[in-house]
Amino acid sequence: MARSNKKIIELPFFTAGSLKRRLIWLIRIRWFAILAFGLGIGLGQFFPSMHIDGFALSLVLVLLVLMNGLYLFLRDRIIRNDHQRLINLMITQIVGDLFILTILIYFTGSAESPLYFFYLFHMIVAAIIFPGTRPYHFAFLAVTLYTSLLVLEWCGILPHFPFYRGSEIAGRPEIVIFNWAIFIMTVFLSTYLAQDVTNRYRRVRMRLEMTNRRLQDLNRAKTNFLRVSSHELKAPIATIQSTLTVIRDILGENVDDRVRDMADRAIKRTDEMINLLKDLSDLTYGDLRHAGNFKQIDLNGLLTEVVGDELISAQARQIEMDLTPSKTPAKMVCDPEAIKKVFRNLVTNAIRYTPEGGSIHVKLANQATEILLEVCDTGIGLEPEEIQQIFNEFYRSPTAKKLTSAGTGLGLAIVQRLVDEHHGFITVSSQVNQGSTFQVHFPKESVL
Amino acid sequence: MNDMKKKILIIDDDIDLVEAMRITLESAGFEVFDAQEGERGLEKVYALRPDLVLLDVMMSQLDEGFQIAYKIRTDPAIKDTPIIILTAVGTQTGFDFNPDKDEDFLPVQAYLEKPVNPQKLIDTVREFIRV
Repeated sequence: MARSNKKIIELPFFTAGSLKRRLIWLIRIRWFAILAFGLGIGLGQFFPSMHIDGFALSLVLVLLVLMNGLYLFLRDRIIRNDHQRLINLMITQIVGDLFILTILIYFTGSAESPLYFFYLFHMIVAAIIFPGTRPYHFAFLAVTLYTSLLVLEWCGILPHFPFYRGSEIAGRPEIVIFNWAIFIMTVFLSTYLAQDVTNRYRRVRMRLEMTNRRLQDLNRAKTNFLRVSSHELKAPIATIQSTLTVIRDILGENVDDRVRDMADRAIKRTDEMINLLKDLSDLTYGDLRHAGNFKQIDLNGLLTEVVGDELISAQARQIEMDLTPSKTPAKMVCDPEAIKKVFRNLVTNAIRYTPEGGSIHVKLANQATEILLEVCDTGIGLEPEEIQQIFNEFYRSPTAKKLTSAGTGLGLAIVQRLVDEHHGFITVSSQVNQGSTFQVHFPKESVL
Repeated sequence: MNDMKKKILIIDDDIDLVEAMRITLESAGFEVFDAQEGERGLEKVYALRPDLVLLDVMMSQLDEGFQIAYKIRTDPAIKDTPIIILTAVGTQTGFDFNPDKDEDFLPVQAYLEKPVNPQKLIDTVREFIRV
């Protein structure tokens, strides 16, 4: 257990990207600190009880400004995503800050200076960012710098800069030693506490990562199983259908009409089975697709193609179907095959569930933040409680079942899945016997 | 008359499907030969010099059909043999195979998705068979 814990703790939880964000965060905080110090020096002049060496402090601040500028330059220009160099820059910044802070403490009265609290800030930052013992190295450096300052002043090697006029703190070793001891404890304790919390976070994150990976593997195995089994099932059904069609169409010239009728029925059922297997493999489609299929494309073209293909089956049932394309090109980064499948499933559904003589309006709109597809029919409609269920696999509403045996109950589940993969969403409004409107909203700035 | 018949070679490991296709194609006046696996099929391409090959993609290996198509296309002696690929696999099944893209690399005459309707089979064969 101890060993595995150690292993986890040594894992850096940051990536090069997050490290870069931490770096810019540190640099920004430093600008604020410089500003606050500058104001503090200015304000301090108005308090007669405080003795502030404005010149020396300003010099230190100028040095800090230069250093921060250099960090910014290094971060932006020289170092890109080189992990080790980003870590080195981070270490340089923390060490640099500790030295500068020590100088500021010296000029604000050493033992009297309240600025030593700022050491803690760096201890916490280091403990959050670095795993292992490195934060303790920084803690040790801070303690060494502060202690050296006190010792050098005590020995008279460095002259004392009093901060509060008339303060005797520097001259009373018991107070200095007591403060120093508390300071050391605080530095190490805050390092320990901050790192302990971060380690817990690392452990949780690691566990999540492992669970996530396992789930992905399982999902892949499931998808693969579904894909292979639907293919394995499809091959014999396809052969059965071919055989039956040969019986009916080629060998069946002299056979009884009843034989032909039975062959017809069997062929129809194999058709349903093949459609079901196609839909099943479509459900797994997204999991196996590679990113190369994504490209920027005008959805109007895809929609025109699909509506054109389906027009014949709409006309066969005396259904009027029209298409209103968007006024401006509706360009989107997407998988065109997937989007076509979404369009096709919605359009064929509308045709299937609209009685003869009805009408279907298909519309694409290019709006400010999204591309909106609307398929509006005068079909059988849905009960409110059915709307909740139509996206579930194998669900078919009782009215839909009565109307036609075609349909696998997977079409809308596939639509839902493919729309999800494009970060979109679907809304449905419907009234029984009046019709249904399906709206698909695709966000424009989809990061895919 | 028999000598005038066009020769079609079916390479597919599904013997029942081969039988259905044989009856279909013979009814349309073609002479049909078959092979149940790729290498055997390739030998028959050399021996029989068929006027068209119907080739199944997935036999004992996932892409066996493609390998055979590639071998036919790269040997000058037989490279002009028309090939129709039979597949139960389309883009929608998620296999790493896309007729639109792969066509450039593998010039075959047509892809037919199983189950193939007899009339469609006859029409496609007539369209591409070597005259």
